[in-house]
Amino acid sequence: MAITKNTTLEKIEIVGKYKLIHIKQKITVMEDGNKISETAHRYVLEPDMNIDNQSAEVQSICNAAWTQEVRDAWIAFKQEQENRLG
Amino acid sequence: MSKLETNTIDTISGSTDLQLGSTNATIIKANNKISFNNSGDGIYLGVTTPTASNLLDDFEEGTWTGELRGATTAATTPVTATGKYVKIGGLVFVKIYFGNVNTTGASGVAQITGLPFAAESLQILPVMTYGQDYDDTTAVMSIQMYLENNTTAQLIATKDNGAWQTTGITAGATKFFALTGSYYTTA
Repeated sequence: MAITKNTTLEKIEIVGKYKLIHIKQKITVMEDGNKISETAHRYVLEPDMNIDNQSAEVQSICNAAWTQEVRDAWIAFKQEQENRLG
Repeated sequence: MSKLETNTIDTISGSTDLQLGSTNATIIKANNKISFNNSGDGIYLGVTTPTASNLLDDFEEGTWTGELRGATTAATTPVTATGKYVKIGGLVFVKIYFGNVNTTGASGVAQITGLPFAAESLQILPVMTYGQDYDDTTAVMSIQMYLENNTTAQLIATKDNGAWQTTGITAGATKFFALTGSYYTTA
């Protein structure tokens, strides 16, 4: 009996004015070649995050979407939020 | 226009899919599951003519990995947990529980990062904590988690006739954080 777990990239979306990258993965668990479980897993990348551990495909999209203007706007938004919250 | 009246339409022997039309049509698959040809297709509910606000075209459920940390520094050993989500249209239901965790080394505003979709504008999420210190000498009335345009929820105390106040994480062992709620996203 062999159980394997496989994670694949299912969707990459660029969302909002700060170009947050939404990643949807599909996690499939197989037993002897038969699918016994399939779930979605989500995470989001923000313009000031380190993306070194992301796949080349994801890095390429992040770098294209996160222009200097977008990065600056994101940092400014976070600073403004921090000031407002105290 | 012709009219077909029948009680049952079934697949031919050896086929698992029943397809209606050749393009842009409903496909009824095996095991009583229905899918559509295109992403973004859906069902209009409660109306007799297509109306955008009545289109159910987005449903998803899954997991997300949250981290309980301080805004300045994370815990020495990262505190993570697997949460669940259900998304219906623009509304996201989330839950996550950090049970009996050690936040030693964390500093700055208490945060839960990694929410599965970016929030649309300013929203709040209910939270319950154990072992977390609050500024209770200055009339803290309630605690919430604040979420705005991103995927990081920050711990906020609402105070009697005072400004919102971010709350620093209490570092140490035996901490519990439970967050369950919903928020809107543009995703």
